Amino acid sequence: MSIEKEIGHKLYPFTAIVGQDQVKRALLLNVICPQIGGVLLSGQKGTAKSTIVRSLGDLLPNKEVITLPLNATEDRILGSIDLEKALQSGEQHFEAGILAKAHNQILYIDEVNLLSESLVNTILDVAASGVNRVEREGISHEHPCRFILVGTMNPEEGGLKPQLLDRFGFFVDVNASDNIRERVEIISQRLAYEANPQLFCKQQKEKQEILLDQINRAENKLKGIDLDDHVLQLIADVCTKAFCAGHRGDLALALGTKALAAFRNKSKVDLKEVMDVRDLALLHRLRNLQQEQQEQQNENQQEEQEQNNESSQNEKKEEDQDQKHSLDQEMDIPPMDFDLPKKEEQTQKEELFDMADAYQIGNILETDKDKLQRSKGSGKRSKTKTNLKMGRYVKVKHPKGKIEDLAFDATLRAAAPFQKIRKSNDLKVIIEPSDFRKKVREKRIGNTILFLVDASGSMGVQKRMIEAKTAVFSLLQDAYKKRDRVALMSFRGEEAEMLLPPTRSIDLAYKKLQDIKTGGRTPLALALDQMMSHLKALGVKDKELLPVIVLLTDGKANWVDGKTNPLESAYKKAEELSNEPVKIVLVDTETGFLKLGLGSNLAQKMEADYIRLDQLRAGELAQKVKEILN
Amino acid sequence: MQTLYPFAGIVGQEQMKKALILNVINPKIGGILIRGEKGTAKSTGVRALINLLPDNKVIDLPIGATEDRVVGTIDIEHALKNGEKKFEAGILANAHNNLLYVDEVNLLDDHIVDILLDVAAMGVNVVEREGVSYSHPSKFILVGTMNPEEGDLRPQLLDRFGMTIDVTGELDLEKRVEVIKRRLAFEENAEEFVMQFQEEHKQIVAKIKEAQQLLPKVKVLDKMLELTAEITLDLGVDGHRADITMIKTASTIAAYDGVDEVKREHILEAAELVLPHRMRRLPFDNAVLSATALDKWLEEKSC
Repeated sequence: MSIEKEIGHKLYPFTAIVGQDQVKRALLLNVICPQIGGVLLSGQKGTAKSTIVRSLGDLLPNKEVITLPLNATEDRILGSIDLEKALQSGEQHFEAGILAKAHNQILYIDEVNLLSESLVNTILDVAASGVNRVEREGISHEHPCRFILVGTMNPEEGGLKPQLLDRFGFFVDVNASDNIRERVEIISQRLAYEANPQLFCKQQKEKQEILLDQINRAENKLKGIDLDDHVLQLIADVCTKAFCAGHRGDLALALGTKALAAFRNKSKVDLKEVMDVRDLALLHRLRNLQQEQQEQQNENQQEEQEQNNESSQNEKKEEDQDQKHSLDQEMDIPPMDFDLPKKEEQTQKEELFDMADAYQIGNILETDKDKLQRSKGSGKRSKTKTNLKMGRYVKVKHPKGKIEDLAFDATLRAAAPFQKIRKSNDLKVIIEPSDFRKKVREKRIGNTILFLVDASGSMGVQKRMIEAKTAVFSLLQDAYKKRDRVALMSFRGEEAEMLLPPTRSIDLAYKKLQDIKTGGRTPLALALDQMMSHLKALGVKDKELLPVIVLLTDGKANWVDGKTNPLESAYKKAEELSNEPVKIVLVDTETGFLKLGLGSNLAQKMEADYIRLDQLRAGELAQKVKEILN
Repeated sequence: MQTLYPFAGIVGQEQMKKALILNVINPKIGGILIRGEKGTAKSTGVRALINLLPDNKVIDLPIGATEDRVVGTIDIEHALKNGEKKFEAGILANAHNNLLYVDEVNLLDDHIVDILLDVAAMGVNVVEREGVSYSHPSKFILVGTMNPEEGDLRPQLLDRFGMTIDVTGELDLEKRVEVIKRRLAFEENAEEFVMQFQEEHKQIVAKIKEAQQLLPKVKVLDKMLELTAEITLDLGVDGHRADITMIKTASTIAAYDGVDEVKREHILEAAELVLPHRMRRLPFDNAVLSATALDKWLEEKSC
């Protein structure tokens, strides 16, 4: 029994949900035909994602919504040794976990993109095989495990890997309504419900029962639904033309059309069903290949980048749009959805594109792996196993050496079967060193992006400062979702100064970077030296942040402390930097026809990526930095 | 117990005080986020609320709290002594039906924020960790304070706060002097100080009670719902939570004013509290600018 039912809480009824037809359809089809493989609901906050899922569990008398909370650890998901039995009898019995509870039910993961990736993987494996095989902590057990997997996520908080996306049968991009009538209807329904839940639910009762009958009838009818060769060919054709990798999309589409035909009380699948289910089954798979192509394009671009700085993001977008456009033409079938008027169809397409953008959160600033071997992270701004005693406890392992961060539960489970043979003192449980287990934690890590800006009195200093500032703000805008921190250091005259210490706050940056002093000579060697010591201090404070340096200069060093040559000193520092585990991007700010090319020399010495500022459009720097680091 | 600074004794900060009172009148508004610099009576305001909430407590969620203490975990002592598993309740269990207060909410560890979001959304804390499986209701008024200079809050968490207000230090010289005087008087003799505000305190409590009684009778005409939807749509606010919170807030403001029908000005006042943190921000934009967006919208409409 769900906790809502236990505490006598009336849930918002399914039939009273205004709009969100795609979400409802996706869920109902999965109820009718669980083989479809679940639904992933992706959308902004406050679009009733969770409400719909919970109300579905309430609607179905024989199904419960089993929630997998974000705090779940592996032992509770898969099941583990029954601790009490082991302590009392010394016998090893299996204690069922969440997956066992979810058998024949709806397994609901709210904010699935925030769950540990390894846990998501485990769950998807079980979902695909229909069996949960547990081999852990001395337990060997398996049980059937079929469930309807429903996940929700807000793409603002980070995406899911394409491999994981592909394994959800259906996908819905959930949006708030942009129709005033509908919005008003949503508010008034919600207020009516909150004013008197009992009454509200009573009013919906009849509708709920009609829907339930329809579902039951469809379940019974499903086996007899005819899917003739003509339609199967159409499905295969649609999937091929949508560039779907693998066959999961075809299968989900075929099963979905059958379920929809059953729901509509038809005896065979028609073109209409294929069209109505198409988006659900293919939206997230269609994207895969395009993303891969884009990644590849990015890689190629990186290679050619020095000759080819002009190729703009916009061109790429146009290409993609053309591709998508031609998709509908080639397929020679009616567009997206029969029921929707033309205008909405267009907005849907645009949103699809926005979503694709949103998914790139996944392949964020990946820093050069070879250079970063020291760091424990993979370099991706995602979740990473951490050795600090911070982060989320996801599973356990055997400790090596000194025990820190003891996983008490796992230790206890390990000790439990031996209690009968261990001598007892006044404690009930005796734990020996061989029982010790250590927590494995995960933590999201980000980059520290440090802008080191030449503020000396050379040509174009104002443009340089504006570009750097704009880039800082632009990067900070994404900072909360990418866990990045941005810092800015400037150098001029005889000093280098940390103007903006590493931060995620736009407000702070706004304050600190309002007026930046410029003018004076160029103390490049000093700047590089100070930056390195700042980084070292940073490294001590937060070991798992990966530093990325964006150096804006023309390389014309003309001041150094002491009698050495300023330029040579700078080069020497640059060479030292090339051995440090940091990623450097040198933005050459040299202008004019006569170029000395000192910037590119410097870049070579420090093994940095190299961009020329005069080849960037205004405001393009942040974009470029993100691209290069990808 | 330590005597708390009385709510009625706070100088100025009228908007913050009103926003807090609105949440006391109607907990369904969904809590409040107070943004501002250090030393602007943010915490004092929140803590002083306790006296206005006779049946509720303020439960602190310290930023250093570990996950097991937040959600609850296996009772280690019980397990060792008796060889049995027992659930040891955490902060979220204590917060049920109370006010959950997070000072410096923007500094909260990421995964604690995730959990908080999860629980705030469901009203239930489901624990599946460290060998224990347990769930309990956890509904609370979420109150957070933060200094925006120390970093932003994730939009998803922002959206969970019913309203936001920005507080600044008092600029009026006379009021500043009054702030110092009162603080000193309070520190000298807290009990006597509280007595001085007894009368005012009673008035506030009485006003809250009246408003609570009036609230269920407050009518909202369709025209006002339309106005709300129009504002949120035009200002590009995500999702529908803002719409619903705006109506609840406007109804509560009407009740506080002793009126039984939501008027245009109630909606607009509610918009100022409910929308700023839900609007997408642009670079070079600081929080205050969001309120100007509302004014701009009003101007455009009135033309």
